[in-house]
Amino acid sequence: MNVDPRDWASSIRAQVAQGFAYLDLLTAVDYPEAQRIEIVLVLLRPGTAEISTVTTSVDRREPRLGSLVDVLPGASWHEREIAEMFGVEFDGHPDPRPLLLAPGLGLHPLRKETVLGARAVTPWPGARSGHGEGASSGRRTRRTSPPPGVPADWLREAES
Amino acid sequence: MTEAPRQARGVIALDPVSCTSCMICVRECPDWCIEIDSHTEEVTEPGARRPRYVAVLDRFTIDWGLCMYCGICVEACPFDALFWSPEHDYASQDAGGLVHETQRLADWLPSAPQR
Amino acid sequence: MGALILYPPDRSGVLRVPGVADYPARVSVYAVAGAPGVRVHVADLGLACCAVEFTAALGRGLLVPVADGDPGQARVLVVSGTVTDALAPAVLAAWEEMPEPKVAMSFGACSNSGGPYWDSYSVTKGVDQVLPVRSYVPGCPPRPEALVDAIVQLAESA
Repeated sequence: MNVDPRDWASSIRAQVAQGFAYLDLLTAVDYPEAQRIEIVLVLLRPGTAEISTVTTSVDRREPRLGSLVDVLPGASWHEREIAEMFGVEFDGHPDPRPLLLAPGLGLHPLRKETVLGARAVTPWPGARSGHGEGASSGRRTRRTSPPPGVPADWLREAES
Repeated sequence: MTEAPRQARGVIALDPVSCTSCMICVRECPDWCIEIDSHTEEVTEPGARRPRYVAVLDRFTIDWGLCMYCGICVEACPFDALFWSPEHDYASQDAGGLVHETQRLADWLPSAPQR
Repeated sequence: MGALILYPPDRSGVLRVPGVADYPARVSVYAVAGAPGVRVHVADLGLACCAVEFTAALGRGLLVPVADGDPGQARVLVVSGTVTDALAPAVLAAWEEMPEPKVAMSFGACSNSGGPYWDSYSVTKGVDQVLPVRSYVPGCPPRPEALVDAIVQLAESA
């Protein structure tokens, strides 16, 4: 079920009161075209196979949400990870330190615009036509593009 | 020094004779650890109307420091030029020693059960 | 930075990363089955899956603990697993706290070069970016036999 971000903590409290007390998953998804980041929470009812999925969305330009740590203490590390990976701020989080990333990284890796720079700047061995040197004229040259997911013009875009 | 089971994925051997430099293994490798350099040579045969072009393999290297031993290259090769071998005693004192050139890759071939 | 390793008398080690966790780093003396005369004082920095292969070498008797271990022998730090940029300072601190003579071994693709994760925003592209590696063991993960072969190779080249 989807809730308004202002009702986030109260909705989760209600779910927990109904018995969905086990935090299974708390993560986020970036939807840049919709200018929002969706927070996804999956709770389980212990002893059963019942699942409750609760989602909410925050504005991508100013992503803030109330922390769930008072309701689900185990959400602490998940929220720290979402904060560093997506840039979402959790109001009231008791310990908002980075969890996994080295200090000074300077980007939110799981946002869609983040590029895996290492692939973009490393020459792809597969880009060599293989038969370039000494190829006789009249032989059709094969056009090879970088593998899927590697932006071909990333450096040039960054420099402009 | 030690023995591993016959089907163990220890190293990948190259049969240079079968390799046509098609570059499929290079492009399929998820880690980008294979490099191939090759060139084309013209072959004229008496009586033929047009010259033929053959690909000549100059250099085939695998960087074992990067390789994750997934075997996609072995499966993808259309010419069966790559084979698994259980050999695993090739640790190196420097990172460059983990890059095996064409001849060294071919030297693994006798140990490949499926060659 | 202050990561702390405790060495003998109990011959077990703890790598303490301030504010994060206590990493058990086994420090023991082993003989190599089938290679008489090779005694290695090994510390395994088990960071990821490669640590399982190191443990398998123990479990399968390829490395045999010995009671008469000589602390004066070379200590091999076996970095088994992916080194992340966040953990790299602790790995370096662990290395610097080891007494001489000491040798660093990179075990597995991740510690050799970053391995499958070389393109990651958080992975150090090889532990040799951080400390001097004298032995690179290829594999993902390398077999326990490969670990043993590499240890023997180190011992023979010393």
